[in-house]
Amino acid sequence: MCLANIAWLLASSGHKTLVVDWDLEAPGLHRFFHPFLPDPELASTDGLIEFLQEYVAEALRPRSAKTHSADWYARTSKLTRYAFSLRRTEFSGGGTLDFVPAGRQDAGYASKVTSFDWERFFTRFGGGLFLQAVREHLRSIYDFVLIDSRTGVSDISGVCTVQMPDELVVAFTYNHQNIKGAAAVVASVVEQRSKGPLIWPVPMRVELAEKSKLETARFAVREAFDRYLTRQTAVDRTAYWGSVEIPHDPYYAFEEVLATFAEKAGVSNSVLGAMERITSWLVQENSTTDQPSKFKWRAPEEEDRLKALDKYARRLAPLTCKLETYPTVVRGEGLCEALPEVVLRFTGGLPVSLGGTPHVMSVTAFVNTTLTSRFIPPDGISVGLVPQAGGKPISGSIKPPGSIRSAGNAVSFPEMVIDPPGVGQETVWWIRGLRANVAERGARSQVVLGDPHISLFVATSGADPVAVQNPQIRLASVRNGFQFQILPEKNGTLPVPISQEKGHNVELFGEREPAALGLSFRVRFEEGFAGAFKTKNQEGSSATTGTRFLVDFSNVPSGVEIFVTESCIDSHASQEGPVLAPVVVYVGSNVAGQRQRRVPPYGPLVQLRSSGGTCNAEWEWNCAAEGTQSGLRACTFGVVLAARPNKAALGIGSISGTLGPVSDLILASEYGPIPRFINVGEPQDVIDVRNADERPASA
Amino acid sequence: MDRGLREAVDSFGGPDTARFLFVVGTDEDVSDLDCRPGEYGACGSEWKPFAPEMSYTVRWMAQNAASSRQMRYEELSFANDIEKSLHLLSKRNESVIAIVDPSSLAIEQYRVVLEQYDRLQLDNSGIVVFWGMGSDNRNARVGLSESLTRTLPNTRAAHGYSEVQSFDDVTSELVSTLVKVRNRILARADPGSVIEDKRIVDLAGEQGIRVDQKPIIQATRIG
Repeated sequence: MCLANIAWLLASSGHKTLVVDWDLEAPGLHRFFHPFLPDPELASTDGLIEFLQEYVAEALRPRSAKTHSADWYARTSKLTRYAFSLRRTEFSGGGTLDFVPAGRQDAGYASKVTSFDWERFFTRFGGGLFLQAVREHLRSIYDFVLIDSRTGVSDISGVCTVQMPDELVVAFTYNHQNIKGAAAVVASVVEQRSKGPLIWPVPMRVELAEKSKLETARFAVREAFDRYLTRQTAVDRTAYWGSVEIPHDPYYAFEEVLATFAEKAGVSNSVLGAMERITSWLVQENSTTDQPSKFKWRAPEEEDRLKALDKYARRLAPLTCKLETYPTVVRGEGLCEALPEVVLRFTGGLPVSLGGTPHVMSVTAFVNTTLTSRFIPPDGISVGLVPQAGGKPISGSIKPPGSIRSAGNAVSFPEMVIDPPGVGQETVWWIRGLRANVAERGARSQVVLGDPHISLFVATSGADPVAVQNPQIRLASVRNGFQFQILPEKNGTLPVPISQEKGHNVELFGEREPAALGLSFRVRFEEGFAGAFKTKNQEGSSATTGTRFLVDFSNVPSGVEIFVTESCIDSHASQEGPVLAPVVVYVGSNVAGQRQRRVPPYGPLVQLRSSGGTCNAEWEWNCAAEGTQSGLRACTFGVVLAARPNKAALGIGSISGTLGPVSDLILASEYGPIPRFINVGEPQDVIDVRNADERPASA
Repeated sequence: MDRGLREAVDSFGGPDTARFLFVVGTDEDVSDLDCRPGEYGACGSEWKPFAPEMSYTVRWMAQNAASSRQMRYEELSFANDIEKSLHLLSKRNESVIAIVDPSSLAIEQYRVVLEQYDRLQLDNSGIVVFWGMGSDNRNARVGLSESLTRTLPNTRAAHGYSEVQSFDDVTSELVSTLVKVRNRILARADPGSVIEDKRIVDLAGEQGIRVDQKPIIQATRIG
C-alpha cells in the first residue's frame, strides 16, 4: 500500500516512475492500480517471472562461436518491455507511472514461481550480473524505480533488499517481532552491501490511541534504526520520525485502494498526509539541485477522485445464470423426439435473507425447430420449469401448466421468482419434458446446412431479468435412424421380371394351397436407434401406439396381384417366437377380403387389394410378451407377386417403405398417442411386366 | 552466410522452440486398419483425430498450442535417425513433444520409434496421446490402452505425459505439456552462454554490490 501510494505521488509530482511487483509469492500490487489497468486481473499479461524465464531461455539457446557476442543478453535485460503505462491527467506535469506486474495470473503461475531456481540463476546463469544490467537499464530511464519485495526470509527478499535497491524503505508495525525482524533485515543488507543502500524505516498502521505503549514502541524503534539514518542530523532524525508514521485507518482493511483517491489532499493526520511526507523525504534526498523545492503533487479533481473511488469499491457479484445440459443424439425422422433436460444454474446476488430482493422475470426457451411437447392444462403437463433447492425438487413448485405459453418453437414461463443464492452458492432450475420436431432439422431436410443439430436459446425478460452467461447451448446432434431396403431373392433380380405371356406364380390362383413357393423379394425395415420401435400399448385402448411398418405400391400394372407375409420372416425373430408372432398384418380395407394363402415356410400370405394401381400393407408391432419390447431393431417381410398368363398389363410398378403412424404432426405428450414419424419413403421399381421379346436373354 | 541470416538460424532452438514428433501413420500405412475415410493424410501431421465432427489436423492443433505460448513451431521428421535427433535436440534445449495415435502403434515403425523415445527419458521431451473418434469403441480402446502401456513403460508415470480425450481437451493438454516440458528445461538445463561483461561487473563493484552469489537475508538475525 505504501509503495503504490508513493508511486502515484511521485508520478503526480512530475517524476518518471516505475513500479515492479517483485513479491512473486503473493503478488497483489496490481490490485491498487486495477481501475486503471487494461487487464485488471492480469489474466493475459506477462510480468517479472516471464521476464526472468525469458532470460534463462535465452541463455539456454545454442549459439555458435561466430555469432556469440558479449552483449547477447542486452535485449532480454530490458525489463521495460514488460511494463505498461498508467494514463492519468494528474501525470501531465512530465511524470509517468509504469507498472511491471509479477506475472500472468493463470493456472501456470504458481508452477513458474516455484520451479524458478534462484540458486542456479545466480550460480549457473550469471543472474547477479543480469540483474545488475537490468538495474542499470532502469536507472537510465526512470527517476524512481519502486520494487515491492517479499517480506521476511526468502530468495526473492534477498534480491530485492540487497542487490536491487539504492534506497530501502523498510515498512513495519509497532510490535516486537516486526521491529526486530525489520532491524535484522536491515542489518543483513548493510552487511552484504559495502556501499549503501540508504535506509528509510517507516512505521505502518500506527494506533495512536494507546499513548503509553506508543511512546515505548517509538523509543524501541529509534533505538533499532537511528544508527541507519546516517545522512540526517539528530534534529533531522527527530523530524523524520515525527513525520513518517502512517496512522492506522480501518477503512483500508477492506479494499486495496490508493489513499490518493480515498482521501482529500492536505489533511496532515491522514494516511495520505503521511504518504505525502514520506514521498517528500525521498524526493528531497534525490534532488539534483542544492535548493530542493517543496514537494508538490497534483491531486485528482474531486469529480475524478470520486469516480475512481467508485471503481475501487468492491462489487457484489451480480446474479447470473448459466445453462448446462448433457447433449444427446436424436432421431432425424422423429417428430416428437425427447430432448435432454436443461439446467439453469443461478449464482451470485444478495439473498433475500440478507436484505436482497427477489428477482421476478419471465424465462423463455427457444428451440431451433418446432416444439412438439403437448401442453395440456391442467394436469397433462409435459414441459416444466422445475426449481430446485439443495438438489431436491420443491414439491408442487412446477409452474402451473396453464401459465405456460407455447409459440411454435418457444416455451415461456412467466413471472418466475428467484431468491438470489449469494456468492459461492447456487440455485438450480430445470427445464424438463421438451420434445421437438427433429425431422425439420434432420439430415433429410432440405433446409439444414452443415451439421444438423438441435439448439436452445434462453432469454429472460421483465423488470428484473437475470443475465444468462451462455444463452445458447447445443442440446442434441441429429442422426438418421431409419433404413428401408428391398432385398431380391437369391439369384433373383429387381425389378422382378414378369412374363406377360407366361404369367407369374400362377399356382397362387389355383384352388389348392401351393406346396412351396419362393418369395419374389423381401422388404426390410431397419432402425439405428434402440427403442425407436415401440410395441402396442398393453391396454389396447389406442391403435396408434405400436410402431407400424408401411409399404406403398404404386403404378402396379393391372392384373398383377401382390401377396405379403402376414408376419415378419427374420430368422432371429422366428427363434424368439413372441416377437414374430404378434407382428401381424394390419387388417384393414387394403387387404383383399379374407384371401390368404399359406405358403411354407413363410406362413400365411395376405393378398393386397389394388385400386387404381396402388395398394399398401401395414404391419404393427403388437407384442405383448414382456422382455421383448426393446429387442426389435429390424423387421423383414416377404412379398410375392403373381399374374395369370396374358392377363397382366405391361408396365413398371414401384414400392416405398416407411414407419408409421405417419403424420405431419404436431402435438404429443408422454402419455397420449404419439404420431412419431415422417414419411421418408422414396419409390423404387420392383415390378416389371414385359413381353417375352423384350426380356433380356439372361432373364 | 551473412550475419543477419546466421543470427536468424541461430535463434532457433532453446526452450522456446516447440518441436513436434507425430507418431501417426499415413493413409497408406493405415489402409489395413479400421479407420474412417479422410481421417489420415499424406503425413502424420495431417491426422484428423476428431473427424468428421472436427476437421482440424493435429498439425493445426500443435501450431495453435505453440503460438499461444509464444513458442516457435517445428516438426521432427521420421526420416532422421530418431535417437540421434533427440539427443541433439536435448543438447539444444528444445522442447520436444510426441503426438501419439494409439491406433498407429499397430504399425511396427511407429511403435519402435515411440519405444526409443520412451527409453531415452530426456528432460526436454513430453508425450501427448490423442484418443480420437476412431478409438471410441470400448473394446478397441482397452486393447489400444494396453498396447500403449507396453510401448511406454517409463513415460506414462512421468510429468510430461498427458492424454487428450476429446476436442475440448486439445488446447489445455497440449499447452500444459508444453509448459511443463519448458519449465523442466529451464530448471535443469545448463546455459550455452553466460554474461561476461566487465563494465557491468565494475558498475556493481562501484555500488558495493556482489554479483557472484545469491544475496541472502540471514534468518538468524530475525526474531
